[in-house]
Amino acid sequence: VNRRSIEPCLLARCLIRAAAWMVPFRSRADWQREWMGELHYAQQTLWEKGREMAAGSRLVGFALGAFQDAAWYRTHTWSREHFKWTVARGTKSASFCLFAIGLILTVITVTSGSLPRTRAALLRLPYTDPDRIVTVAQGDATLAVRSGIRDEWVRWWRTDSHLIEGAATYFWSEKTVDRRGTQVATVSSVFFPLLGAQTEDKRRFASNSFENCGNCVVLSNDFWRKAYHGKAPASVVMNGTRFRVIAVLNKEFWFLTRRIGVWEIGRGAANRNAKTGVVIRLRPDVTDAQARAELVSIVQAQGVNPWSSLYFFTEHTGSRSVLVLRARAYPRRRNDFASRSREFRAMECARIRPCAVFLLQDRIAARRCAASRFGIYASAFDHDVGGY
Amino acid sequence: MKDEIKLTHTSALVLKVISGGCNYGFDIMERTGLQSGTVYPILRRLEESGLILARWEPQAAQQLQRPQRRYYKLTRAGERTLVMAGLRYPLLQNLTAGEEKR
Repeated sequence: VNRRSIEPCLLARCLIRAAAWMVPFRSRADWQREWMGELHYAQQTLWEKGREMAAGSRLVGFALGAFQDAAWYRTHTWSREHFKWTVARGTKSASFCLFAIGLILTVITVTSGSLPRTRAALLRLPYTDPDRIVTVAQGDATLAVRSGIRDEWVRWWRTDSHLIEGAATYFWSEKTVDRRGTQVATVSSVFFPLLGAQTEDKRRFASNSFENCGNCVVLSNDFWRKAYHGKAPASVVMNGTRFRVIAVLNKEFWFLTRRIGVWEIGRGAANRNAKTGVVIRLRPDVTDAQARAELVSIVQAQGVNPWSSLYFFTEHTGSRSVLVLRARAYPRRRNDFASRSREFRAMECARIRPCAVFLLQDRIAARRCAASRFGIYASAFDHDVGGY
Repeated sequence: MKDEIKLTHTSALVLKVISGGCNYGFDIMERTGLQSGTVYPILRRLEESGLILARWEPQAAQQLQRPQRRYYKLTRAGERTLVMAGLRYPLLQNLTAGEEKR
């Protein structure tokens, strides 16, 4: 190696050593060893090929590449090593223990209290003003089950309530649609406009969208994609009857369960005592308690036994089973409670099966009837309102 | 089975010349015409991905009064990836063994 190539080689070595400072300590020795070796062979190769004239600039250029290589090491290795080192050192310190305890307490606090609200905020429901959408159900104080609402009550609320903008009914059951089993919801014609649901092409349902619509259905987006591969059929055959397809729902839309594939627009309940799920839209600034009190009073004003409305509660669909508001109007006196309890059971039993003996306060019959109450909820509905 | 790693054209080129017998950094630079600042980070990445394996030249080299070299060779995963890269970059196939190791 002649003197002309010694100086560039020295400069190149200095550059490599400078770049080596960027490399993490653990890998630095190997890294520098490789680069120095490569520099040696680069110099030798250029010398052997008789390119010593250009060797100086080439060696410096070669060594400058070491900075890029070192930078790669720094960004890809340093952070991982540093993290491991920090964790290994930090876990032995008292501050880490305090931090861990604080973190655990924070997680517990967040998950126990704020999570439902956080979830509701993040997974906002696909309705217009979802905070004003409330499902209404009758509950039972002891069994913690909910049943639907009588269809005639919904009619009273629609006409007499000043605190709700509208009420829609729903229930669902398993049906066969074009030889494919799916959950089919039967909803009233105001159901989609009330929620502010949108179609696949982002249109909102108008209040008159389903007027004069006999045998009409709306398809859920998932069902539409899976069963029809994204091509909307003009009609579907459901349990042997042909239904006209009005629209396909937006893919974000769901209500209580995502299993519903088809939404049939119903014409109202077959009889006045049939029970359905009810969803209402409250007027702005109306609280659950105000609405509940009014709905109860409307029902009572129609002469319905007050016991029936004692366990009347509303539930925000947005927070699902988190915010359950029960009526507080429990009977104060024990005798009063007992008498109303009997009255209630008599009414329920009378609806399900003749229970005249019970009305005569026969204790044995009363027990039988009370036992049958457990079966009421199971036997009274052949469909689901999402209340269990 | 682990998904095939998608290489850039340059990385595939480096892998190809390693498979052709160029087994250390400067040699790869000479064959491909790439700069050192490009070749060595690629070698690190390929090594990290398990496509090439690096080993130091045996100590005998030190007895010859020269520094040790760090040699690279393809792993099985590297060979498979190179085949996939060949389908993705058809021109790589045109590199014959003679051209790779002149």
